[in-house]
Amino acid sequence: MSEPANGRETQDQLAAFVARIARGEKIEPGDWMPDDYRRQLIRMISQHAHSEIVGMLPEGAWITRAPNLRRKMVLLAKVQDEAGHGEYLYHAAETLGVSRQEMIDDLLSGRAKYSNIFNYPTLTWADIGVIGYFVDGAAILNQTMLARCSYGPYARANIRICAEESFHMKQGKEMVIRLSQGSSEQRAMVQDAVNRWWWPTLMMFGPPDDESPNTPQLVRWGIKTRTNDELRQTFINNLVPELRAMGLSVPDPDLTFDEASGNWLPGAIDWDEFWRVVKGDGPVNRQRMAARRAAHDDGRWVRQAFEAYAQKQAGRQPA
Amino acid sequence: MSDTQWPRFYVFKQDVPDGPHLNCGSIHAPDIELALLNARDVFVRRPACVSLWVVPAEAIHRNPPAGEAEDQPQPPDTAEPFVVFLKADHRQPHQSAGEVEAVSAEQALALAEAERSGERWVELWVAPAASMLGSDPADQAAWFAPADDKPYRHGSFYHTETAMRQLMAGGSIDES
Repeated sequence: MSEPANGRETQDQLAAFVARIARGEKIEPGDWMPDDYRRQLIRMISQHAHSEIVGMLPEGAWITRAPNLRRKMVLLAKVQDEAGHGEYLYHAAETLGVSRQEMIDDLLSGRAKYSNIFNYPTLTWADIGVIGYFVDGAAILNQTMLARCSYGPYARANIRICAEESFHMKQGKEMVIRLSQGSSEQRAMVQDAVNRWWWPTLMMFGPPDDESPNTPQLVRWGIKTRTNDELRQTFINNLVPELRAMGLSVPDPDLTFDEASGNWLPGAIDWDEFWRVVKGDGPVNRQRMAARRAAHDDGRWVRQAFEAYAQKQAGRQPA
Repeated sequence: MSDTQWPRFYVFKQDVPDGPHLNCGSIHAPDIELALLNARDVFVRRPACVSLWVVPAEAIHRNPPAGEAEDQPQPPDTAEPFVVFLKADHRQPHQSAGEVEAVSAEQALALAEAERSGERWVELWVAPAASMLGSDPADQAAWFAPADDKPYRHGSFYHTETAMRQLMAGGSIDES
């Protein structure tokens, strides 16, 4: 077969492209790439960027309520990092030809998705610890994989992100360890947070492999090297022994250890809930988008002031 | 006019005093001074950095050409310095690699390419030195030292692995 795959892309071009990826070469911005590779990457990278930006909201709400100065500085630094990660990722997406304005418009209009996990509320201080430990821990597994992906700018953004996320995960894990060894009130608070975040975190890895139509293509193109279920299983295997050592329970009565595979097998995940939240009906979807839009609107005068200053300076310069 | 699509500037970061400036990404800003400030906040929240450069995206000329005709103003008749950025292989970002004197970007690219005949490289960029802005060496401490005072931004600040080992062994954690 040598007829064009879709009018412009020939089988020869596609074969050469797949061969480059198989050799471990990075695809760079000016290189030829299939339209679908570009489209899938723009979708993935912009969603990832939006997740970093929206991800500031649940934690930002606790900065003023941090129990001491150390925790406050740590949380400020973490939230600032998330803004920076959004910037790294928007840059990576821009190298594929999408504009910053399009991406921001898509986020604010609700057309674009972001990680479902941020549509759950942060009810207590223990949630901040559990988010770092669970949510950032899950994100690191995913981003460590993406740091090896075939698209150079996205791989490099993830390398930088992973180096910084290690701090995010560890500050959360430290909090969870401390609370689990604390007073009975602290133990109850952290167990409650574990109970609420466990299942949504498992859903972060995405639908099961047999319901994830994009995965085989993404694996072939070297964008993903592990499937959703494989990453999810690694996360569960890492977390269950640690939670048990802390004296915390996993909110899954069907969780069993499988001797043959060495895996902790979870009970059934409620994918109906997942899709309900994806489609906008999660606990705080509307609040998150309202907060994001308000921040954009409230910041308009600052952007206008910067722009007016830039125009004034440009006018002053000798021609 | 849109207020979410400012001009883009490429950011180059120097990690050690005599090392090259490495491309670490790009930033949007209404002007080059603000681009430099934004670049520090986005790319230098941690050590180490001794110098930052920002270059307007439209000032960068590439070789091999990107394929689209670039509408540039007439080049001046007198030569001016162009900074050269080299992408040596597919695993490394563009990094600064000296300067050439040229009357146009096309000539600068030709000169930079001639200097490297026989060498292997993937892509060359040149940008007029006058188009760029770099951090002031006199401000180095004020600009980059604050990142040194924040050890809690590093994973190694948290002794979670030690604590986990103590708990796994059935003991209690050392609170120190």
